[in-house]
Amino acid sequence: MNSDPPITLNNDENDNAMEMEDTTVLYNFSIHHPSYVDTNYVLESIESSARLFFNSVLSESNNLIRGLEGEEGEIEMIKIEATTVRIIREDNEEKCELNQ
Amino acid sequence: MLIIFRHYTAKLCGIPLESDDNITCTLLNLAATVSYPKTITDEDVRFQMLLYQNEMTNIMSNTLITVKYKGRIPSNCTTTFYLAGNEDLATLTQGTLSFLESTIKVFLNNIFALSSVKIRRVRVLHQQVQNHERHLLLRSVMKTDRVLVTNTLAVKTSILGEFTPPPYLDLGDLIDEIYKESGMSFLEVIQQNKLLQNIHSINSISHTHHVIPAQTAPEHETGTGHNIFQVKEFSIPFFVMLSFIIVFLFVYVVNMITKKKAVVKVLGMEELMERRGSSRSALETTDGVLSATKGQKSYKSLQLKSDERVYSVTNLQ
Repeated sequence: MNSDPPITLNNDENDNAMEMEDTTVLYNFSIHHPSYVDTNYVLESIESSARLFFNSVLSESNNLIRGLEGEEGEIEMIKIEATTVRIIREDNEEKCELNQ
Repeated sequence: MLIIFRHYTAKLCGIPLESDDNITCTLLNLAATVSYPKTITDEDVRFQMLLYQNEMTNIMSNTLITVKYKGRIPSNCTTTFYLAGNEDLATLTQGTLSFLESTIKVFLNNIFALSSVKIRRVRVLHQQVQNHERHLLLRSVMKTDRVLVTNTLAVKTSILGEFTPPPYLDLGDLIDEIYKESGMSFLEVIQQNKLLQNIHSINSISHTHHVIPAQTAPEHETGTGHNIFQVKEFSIPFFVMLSFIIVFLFVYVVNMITKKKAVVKVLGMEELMERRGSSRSALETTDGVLSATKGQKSYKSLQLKSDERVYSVTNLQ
Protein backbone atom coordinates (compact mmCIF):
# COMPACT_ATOMS: atom_id res chain seq x y z
CA MET A 1 0.00 0.00 0.00
CA ASN A 2 1.42 3.32 -1.03
CA SER A 3 1.19 5.70 1.90
CA ASP A 4 3.61 8.40 0.69
CA PRO A 5 2.17 11.85 1.13
CA PRO A 6 1.77 13.89 -2.05
CA ILE A 7 4.69 16.23 -2.78
CA THR A 8 3.71 19.88 -2.49
CA LEU A 9 5.66 22.91 -3.63
CA ASN A 10 5.69 26.04 -1.57
CA ASN A 11 3.57 28.85 -3.00
CA ASP A 12 6.46 31.08 -4.14
CA GLU A 13 8.05 28.35 -6.23
CA ASN A 14 4.68 27.42 -7.68
CA ASP A 15 3.94 30.98 -8.74
CA ASN A 16 7.31 31.59 -10.37
CA ALA A 17 7.64 28.31 -12.22
CA MET A 18 5.24 28.65 -15.14
CA GLU A 19 5.23 25.41 -17.08
CA MET A 20 5.99 25.87 -20.74
CA GLU A 21 5.47 23.68 -23.79
CA ASP A 22 6.79 23.87 -27.33
CA THR A 23 4.98 23.57 -30.61
CA THR A 24 6.09 23.89 -34.21
CA VAL A 25 3.84 25.46 -36.81
CA LEU A 26 4.60 24.72 -40.44
CA TYR A 27 4.03 27.29 -43.17
CA ASN A 28 4.24 26.31 -46.84
CA PHE A 29 5.30 28.95 -49.34
CA SER A 30 5.86 29.07 -53.05
CA ILE A 31 8.56 31.58 -54.00
CA HIS A 32 8.82 32.90 -57.55
CA HIS A 33 12.14 34.49 -58.43
CA PRO A 34 14.50 34.91 -61.37
CA SER A 35 16.59 31.81 -61.93
CA TYR A 36 19.88 33.61 -61.25
CA VAL A 37 18.83 34.25 -57.64
CA ASP A 38 20.49 31.67 -55.44
CA THR A 39 18.28 29.36 -53.37
CA ASN A 40 20.31 30.12 -50.26
CA TYR A 41 19.55 33.81 -50.68
CA VAL A 42 15.83 32.95 -50.88
CA LEU A 43 15.97 30.82 -47.74
CA GLU A 44 17.90 33.45 -45.78
CA SER A 45 15.57 36.21 -46.96
CA ILE A 46 12.49 34.25 -45.93
CA GLU A 47 13.94 33.34 -42.54
CA SER A 48 15.04 36.88 -41.70
CA SER A 49 11.69 38.38 -42.81
CA ALA A 50 9.80 35.80 -40.75
CA ARG A 51 12.00 36.44 -37.72
CA LEU A 52 11.42 40.19 -37.93
CA PHE A 53 7.72 39.67 -38.45
CA PHE A 54 7.24 37.35 -35.50
CA ASN A 55 9.25 39.57 -33.21
CA SER A 56 6.91 42.43 -33.98
CA VAL A 57 3.59 40.60 -33.93
CA LEU A 58 3.90 38.07 -31.13
CA SER A 59 3.22 40.73 -28.55
CA GLU A 60 -0.02 41.54 -30.39
CA SER A 61 -0.86 37.86 -30.48
CA ASN A 62 -0.17 37.55 -26.76
CA ASN A 63 -2.52 40.42 -26.06
CA LEU A 64 -5.14 38.79 -28.25
CA ILE A 65 -4.79 35.42 -26.53
CA ARG A 66 -4.90 37.03 -23.10
CA GLY A 67 -7.99 38.94 -24.16
CA LEU A 68 -9.75 35.88 -25.52
CA GLU A 69 -8.73 33.33 -22.97
CA GLY A 70 -7.95 35.47 -19.94
CA GLU A 71 -4.73 33.53 -19.47
CA GLU A 72 -1.34 34.53 -18.16
CA GLY A 73 1.92 33.95 -19.95
CA GLU A 74 3.31 34.68 -23.38
CA ILE A 75 4.20 32.92 -26.59
CA GLU A 76 7.92 33.17 -27.29
CA MET A 77 9.70 32.46 -30.54
CA ILE A 78 12.38 29.79 -30.20
CA LYS A 79 13.45 28.89 -33.71
CA ILE A 80 12.67 29.65 -37.33
CA GLU A 81 13.96 27.39 -40.05
CA ALA A 82 13.25 27.42 -43.77
CA THR A 83 13.90 24.30 -45.86
CA THR A 84 13.55 23.73 -49.58
CA VAL A 85 10.97 21.16 -50.63
CA ARG A 86 11.15 21.39 -54.40
CA ILE A 87 12.66 23.61 -57.08
CA ILE A 88 10.90 24.02 -60.42
CA ARG A 89 12.56 25.89 -63.28
CA GLU A 90 10.24 27.21 -65.98
CA ASP A 91 10.27 30.04 -68.46
CA ASN A 92 7.33 31.81 -66.83
CA GLU A 93 5.39 32.07 -63.62
CA GLU A 94 2.21 30.43 -64.93
CA LYS A 95 4.03 27.25 -65.89
CA CYS A 96 5.66 27.20 -62.47
CA GLU A 97 2.26 27.42 -60.83
CA LEU A 98 0.90 24.62 -62.98
CA ASN A 99 3.82 22.35 -62.18
CA GLN A 100 3.32 22.69 -58.46
CA MET B 1 23.55 42.45 -51.86
CA LEU B 2 25.43 41.77 -55.06
CA ILE B 3 22.38 40.06 -56.51
CA ILE B 4 20.14 42.99 -55.70
CA PHE B 5 22.75 45.46 -57.07
CA ARG B 6 23.03 43.47 -60.27
CA HIS B 7 19.26 43.26 -60.61
CA TYR B 8 18.73 46.99 -60.07
CA THR B 9 21.57 48.18 -62.31
CA ALA B 10 20.44 45.90 -65.11
CA LYS B 11 16.86 47.08 -64.81
CA LEU B 12 17.82 50.75 -64.61
CA CYS B 13 20.11 50.55 -67.63
CA GLY B 14 17.56 48.54 -69.58
CA ILE B 15 19.99 45.67 -70.01
CA PRO B 16 18.18 42.35 -70.23
CA LEU B 17 19.71 39.78 -67.93
CA GLU B 18 20.60 36.50 -69.59
CA SER B 19 18.32 34.48 -67.38
CA ASP B 20 15.72 37.16 -66.85
CA ASP B 21 13.04 35.18 -68.65
CA ASN B 22 13.63 32.04 -66.62
CA ILE B 23 11.64 31.76 -63.44
CA THR B 24 12.31 29.40 -60.61
CA CYS B 25 9.60 28.30 -58.22
CA THR B 26 11.08 27.30 -54.92
CA LEU B 27 8.63 25.47 -52.71
CA LEU B 28 9.72 25.71 -49.12
CA ASN B 29 8.58 25.00 -45.60
CA LEU B 30 9.05 27.47 -42.82
CA ALA B 31 9.02 25.83 -39.40
CA ALA B 32 8.35 28.26 -36.58
CA THR B 33 8.90 26.78 -33.13
CA VAL B 34 7.42 28.66 -30.20
CA SER B 35 7.11 28.04 -26.50
CA TYR B 36 3.91 28.81 -24.67
CA PRO B 37 2.59 28.44 -21.13
CA LYS B 38 0.59 25.29 -20.42
CA THR B 39 -2.39 27.42 -19.52
CA ILE B 40 -2.85 28.00 -23.27
CA THR B 41 -3.71 25.02 -25.44
CA ASP B 42 -1.60 23.87 -28.35
CA GLU B 43 -4.60 24.30 -30.66
CA ASP B 44 -5.06 27.94 -29.70
CA VAL B 45 -1.37 28.68 -30.32
CA ARG B 46 -1.50 26.98 -33.72
CA PHE B 47 -4.65 28.89 -34.60
CA GLN B 48 -3.13 32.25 -33.68
CA MET B 49 0.13 31.49 -35.48
CA LEU B 50 -1.64 30.47 -38.69
CA LEU B 51 -3.65 33.68 -38.68
CA TYR B 52 -0.45 35.51 -39.68
CA GLN B 53 0.20 33.68 -42.96
CA ASN B 54 -1.05 36.45 -45.21
CA GLU B 55 0.86 39.25 -43.49
CA MET B 56 4.03 37.15 -43.53
CA THR B 57 3.62 36.65 -47.27
CA ASN B 58 3.36 40.40 -47.87
CA ILE B 59 6.45 41.16 -45.77
CA MET B 60 8.57 38.41 -47.34
CA SER B 61 8.00 39.58 -50.91
CA ASN B 62 10.53 42.01 -52.34
CA THR B 63 11.82 43.14 -55.74
CA LEU B 64 13.49 39.80 -56.38
CA ILE B 65 11.12 37.29 -54.89
CA THR B 66 7.35 36.94 -54.96
CA VAL B 67 5.98 34.88 -52.12
CA LYS B 68 2.68 33.00 -52.19
CA TYR B 69 1.26 31.11 -49.24
CA LYS B 70 0.32 27.51 -50.04
CA GLY B 71 -0.31 26.13 -46.61
CA ARG B 72 -3.03 25.62 -44.04
CA ILE B 73 -5.75 28.18 -43.40
CA PRO B 74 -7.29 28.33 -39.92
CA SER B 75 -11.05 28.34 -39.57
CA ASN B 76 -13.27 28.90 -36.58
CA CYS B 77 -17.00 28.43 -36.18
CA THR B 78 -19.61 28.44 -33.47
CA THR B 79 -21.94 25.46 -33.75
CA THR B 80 -25.01 24.86 -31.63
CA PHE B 81 -26.07 21.21 -31.49
CA TYR B 82 -29.72 20.56 -30.70
CA LEU B 83 -30.07 17.16 -29.03
CA ALA B 84 -33.69 16.15 -28.76
CA GLY B 85 -34.63 13.64 -26.07
CA ASN B 86 -37.43 12.72 -23.71
CA GLU B 87 -38.60 14.67 -20.71
CA ASP B 88 -35.78 13.27 -18.55
CA LEU B 89 -33.11 15.02 -20.62
CA ALA B 90 -31.22 17.48 -18.43
CA THR B 91 -28.01 19.47 -18.57
CA LEU B 92 -24.90 17.32 -18.94
CA THR B 93 -22.17 16.83 -16.39
CA GLN B 94 -18.61 17.96 -17.11
CA GLY B 95 -17.56 14.40 -17.86
CA THR B 96 -20.37 13.91 -20.38
CA LEU B 97 -19.57 17.25 -22.00
CA SER B 98 -15.93 16.18 -22.39
CA PHE B 99 -17.16 12.92 -23.95
CA LEU B 100 -19.35 14.93 -26.32
CA GLU B 101 -16.44 17.25 -27.27
CA SER B 102 -14.09 14.40 -28.08
CA THR B 103 -16.82 12.44 -29.91
CA ILE B 104 -17.68 15.41 -32.13
CA LYS B 105 -13.99 15.94 -32.93
CA VAL B 106 -13.33 12.28 -33.78
CA PHE B 107 -16.59 11.96 -35.74
CA LEU B 108 -15.88 15.04 -37.87
CA ASN B 109 -12.24 14.08 -38.46
CA ASN B 110 -13.36 10.63 -39.65
CA ILE B 111 -15.74 12.26 -42.12
CA PHE B 112 -13.04 14.72 -43.25
CA ALA B 113 -10.37 12.00 -43.45
CA LEU B 114 -10.09 12.15 -47.24
CA SER B 115 -10.13 15.95 -47.41
CA SER B 116 -7.68 18.62 -46.28
CA VAL B 117 -9.95 19.60 -43.39
CA LYS B 118 -8.75 18.83 -39.90
CA ILE B 119 -10.68 19.62 -36.73
CA ARG B 120 -8.24 20.71 -34.04
CA ARG B 121 -10.47 21.48 -31.10
CA VAL B 122 -14.10 21.29 -30.00
CA ARG B 123 -15.02 23.16 -26.84
CA VAL B 124 -18.45 23.42 -25.23
CA LEU B 125 -19.28 27.03 -24.43
CA HIS B 126 -22.78 26.75 -23.07
CA GLN B 127 -25.69 24.33 -22.64
CA GLN B 128 -29.38 24.91 -22.12
CA VAL B 129 -32.44 22.67 -21.86
CA GLN B 130 -35.53 23.75 -23.77
CA ASN B 131 -38.97 22.22 -23.09
CA HIS B 132 -41.46 21.46 -25.82
CA GLU B 133 -44.99 20.29 -25.21
CA ARG B 134 -47.08 18.70 -27.93
CA HIS B 135 -50.76 17.93 -27.50
CA LEU B 136 -51.62 14.74 -29.30
CA LEU B 137 -55.23 14.06 -30.09
CA LEU B 138 -55.89 10.41 -29.40
CA ARG B 139 -59.64 10.65 -28.95
CA SER B 140 -60.38 7.72 -31.15
CA VAL B 141 -58.50 5.38 -28.84
CA MET B 142 -58.13 7.04 -25.45
CA LYS B 143 -61.07 9.49 -25.68
CA THR B 144 -58.73 12.13 -24.27
CA ASP B 145 -55.86 14.47 -25.14
CA ARG B 146 -52.36 13.37 -24.39
CA VAL B 147 -49.50 15.78 -23.79
CA LEU B 148 -46.14 14.67 -25.12
CA VAL B 149 -43.22 16.46 -23.47
CA THR B 150 -39.83 16.48 -25.17
CA ASN B 151 -36.70 18.24 -24.03
CA THR B 152 -34.09 19.64 -26.36
CA LEU B 153 -30.59 20.25 -25.10
CA ALA B 154 -28.90 23.09 -26.95
CA VAL B 155 -25.12 22.70 -26.68
CA LYS B 156 -23.17 25.67 -28.02
CA THR B 157 -19.63 24.79 -29.10
CA SER B 158 -16.59 26.51 -30.54
CA ILE B 159 -14.88 24.47 -33.24
CA LEU B 160 -11.36 25.22 -34.50
CA GLY B 161 -10.23 23.69 -37.73
CA GLU B 162 -7.82 24.02 -40.63
CA PHE B 163 -7.87 23.31 -44.32
CA THR B 164 -5.65 23.77 -47.33
CA PRO B 165 -7.18 25.86 -50.12
CA PRO B 166 -8.25 25.78 -52.84
CA PRO B 167 -11.15 25.68 -52.47
CA TYR B 168 -11.85 28.10 -49.63
CA LEU B 169 -14.28 26.30 -47.35
CA ASP B 170 -16.96 27.41 -44.95
CA LEU B 171 -16.40 25.16 -41.96
CA GLY B 172 -19.80 25.91 -40.41
CA ASP B 173 -21.67 25.02 -43.59
CA LEU B 174 -19.71 21.79 -43.91
CA ILE B 175 -20.52 20.75 -40.34
CA ASP B 176 -24.22 21.55 -40.74
CA GLU B 177 -24.34 19.49 -43.92
CA ILE B 178 -22.62 16.54 -42.24
CA TYR B 179 -25.05 16.48 -39.33
CA LYS B 180 -27.98 16.82 -41.70
CA GLU B 181 -26.88 13.78 -43.70
CA SER B 182 -25.07 11.67 -41.11
CA GLY B 183 -26.68 12.78 -37.87
CA MET B 184 -28.00 9.28 -37.16
CA SER B 185 -24.49 7.80 -37.37
CA PHE B 186 -23.37 10.35 -34.80
CA LEU B 187 -26.31 9.45 -32.56
CA GLU B 188 -25.29 5.79 -32.60
CA VAL B 189 -21.87 6.81 -31.32
CA ILE B 190 -23.00 9.12 -28.53
CA GLN B 191 -25.71 6.70 -27.40
CA GLN B 192 -22.88 4.54 -26.09
CA ASN B 193 -22.84 6.98 -23.19
CA LYS B 194 -25.63 6.05 -20.77
CA LEU B 195 -26.54 9.68 -20.13
CA LEU B 196 -27.08 10.26 -23.84
CA GLN B 197 -29.01 7.07 -24.61
CA ASN B 198 -32.40 8.80 -24.75
CA ILE B 199 -31.43 11.30 -27.41
CA HIS B 200 -33.37 10.50 -30.56
CA SER B 201 -32.41 13.25 -32.98
CA ILE B 202 -29.73 15.85 -33.56
CA ASN B 203 -29.25 18.85 -35.78
CA SER B 204 -26.82 21.73 -35.83
CA ILE B 205 -26.71 25.41 -36.71
CA SER B 206 -23.29 26.92 -37.35
CA HIS B 207 -21.85 30.35 -37.84
CA THR B 208 -18.38 30.57 -39.34
CA HIS B 209 -16.05 33.34 -38.19
CA HIS B 210 -14.05 33.95 -41.35
CA VAL B 211 -10.40 34.46 -40.66
CA ILE B 212 -9.28 34.44 -44.28
CA PRO B 213 -7.78 37.82 -45.12
CA ALA B 214 -10.00 39.75 -47.51
CA GLN B 215 -7.48 40.15 -50.33
CA THR B 216 -6.85 36.41 -50.67
CA ALA B 217 -10.41 35.26 -50.18
CA PRO B 218 -12.90 34.78 -52.99
CA GLU B 219 -15.47 37.53 -53.48
CA HIS B 220 -18.26 35.73 -51.69
CA GLU B 221 -16.29 35.49 -48.47
CA THR B 222 -15.90 38.39 -46.13
CA GLY B 223 -13.19 38.86 -43.55
CA THR B 224 -14.83 39.35 -40.20
CA GLY B 225 -12.66 37.20 -38.00
CA HIS B 226 -10.16 37.93 -35.32
CA ASN B 227 -7.33 38.89 -37.66
CA ILE B 228 -5.92 42.00 -36.06
CA PHE B 229 -4.27 43.12 -39.26
CA GLN B 230 -7.45 43.55 -41.25
CA VAL B 231 -8.08 46.89 -39.64
CA LYS B 232 -4.65 48.12 -40.71
CA GLU B 233 -5.19 46.99 -44.30
CA PHE B 234 -8.34 49.02 -44.67
CA SER B 235 -7.23 51.98 -42.58
CA ILE B 236 -4.88 53.56 -45.15
CA PRO B 237 -7.39 54.22 -47.96
CA PHE B 238 -9.97 55.24 -45.38
CA PHE B 239 -7.69 57.92 -43.90
CA VAL B 240 -6.65 59.12 -47.35
CA MET B 241 -10.31 59.60 -48.24
CA LEU B 242 -10.99 61.26 -44.92
CA SER B 243 -8.06 63.66 -45.47
CA PHE B 244 -9.40 64.61 -48.90
CA ILE B 245 -12.83 65.28 -47.48
CA ILE B 246 -11.42 67.42 -44.64
CA VAL B 247 -9.24 69.45 -47.05
CA PHE B 248 -12.18 69.95 -49.42
CA LEU B 249 -14.45 71.10 -46.59
CA PHE B 250 -11.74 73.43 -45.25
CA VAL B 251 -11.20 75.05 -48.66
CA TYR B 252 -14.95 75.36 -49.20
CA VAL B 253 -15.54 76.97 -45.80
CA VAL B 254 -12.59 79.38 -46.21
CA ASN B 255 -13.87 80.31 -49.65
CA MET B 256 -17.36 80.98 -48.31
CA ILE B 257 -16.05 83.08 -45.42
CA THR B 258 -13.84 85.14 -47.76
CA LYS B 259 -16.76 85.75 -50.11
CA LYS B 260 -19.01 86.74 -47.28
CA LYS B 261 -16.40 89.09 -45.81
CA ALA B 262 -15.83 90.67 -49.22
CA VAL B 263 -19.51 91.32 -49.75
CA VAL B 264 -19.92 92.58 -46.22
CA LYS B 265 -16.96 94.90 -46.62
CA VAL B 266 -18.22 96.32 -49.92
CA LEU B 267 -21.73 96.74 -48.62
CA GLY B 268 -20.30 98.19 -45.46
CA MET B 269 -18.30 100.70 -47.48
CA GLU B 270 -21.22 101.73 -49.68
CA GLU B 271 -23.48 102.03 -46.68
CA LEU B 272 -20.85 104.14 -44.98
CA MET B 273 -20.61 106.35 -48.05
CA GLU B 274 -24.35 106.89 -48.07
CA ARG B 275 -24.46 107.59 -44.37
CA ARG B 276 -21.68 110.11 -44.68
CA GLY B 277 -23.34 111.86 -47.61
CA SER B 278 -21.16 110.44 -50.34
CA SER B 279 -22.54 108.91 -53.47
CA ARG B 280 -21.19 106.45 -55.98
CA SER B 281 -20.32 109.31 -58.34
CA ALA B 282 -18.05 110.67 -55.68
CA LEU B 283 -15.95 107.50 -55.85
CA GLU B 284 -12.83 107.75 -57.92
CA THR B 285 -12.07 104.69 -60.01
CA THR B 286 -8.49 103.88 -60.89
CA ASP B 287 -7.54 100.43 -62.12
CA GLY B 288 -10.26 98.76 -60.19
CA VAL B 289 -9.46 100.65 -56.98
CA LEU B 290 -12.32 102.53 -55.54
CA SER B 291 -11.54 105.28 -53.11
CA ALA B 292 -13.58 107.93 -51.45
CA THR B 293 -12.64 110.76 -49.19
CA LYS B 294 -14.84 112.22 -46.52
CA GLY B 295 -13.34 114.52 -44.02
CA GLN B 296 -9.94 113.24 -42.99
CA LYS B 297 -10.74 109.57 -43.54
CA SER B 298 -10.16 107.71 -46.76
CA TYR B 299 -11.63 104.40 -47.80
CA LYS B 300 -10.09 102.16 -50.38
CA SER B 301 -11.05 98.84 -51.73
CA LEU B 302 -9.75 96.55 -54.42
CA GLN B 303 -12.54 95.00 -56.44
CA LEU B 304 -12.01 91.86 -58.43
CA LYS B 305 -14.94 91.71 -60.77
CA SER B 306 -16.16 88.71 -62.65
CA ASP B 307 -19.62 88.41 -64.14
CA GLU B 308 -20.55 91.67 -62.42
CA ARG B 309 -19.94 90.21 -58.98
CA VAL B 310 -17.49 91.29 -56.34
CA TYR B 311 -15.40 88.38 -55.11
CA SER B 312 -12.90 89.90 -52.74
CA VAL B 313 -11.93 93.20 -51.29
CA THR B 314 -8.69 94.13 -49.62
CA ASN B 315 -7.12 97.20 -48.09
CA LEU B 316 -10.39 98.48 -46.73
CA GLN B 317 -9.36 101.33 -44.45
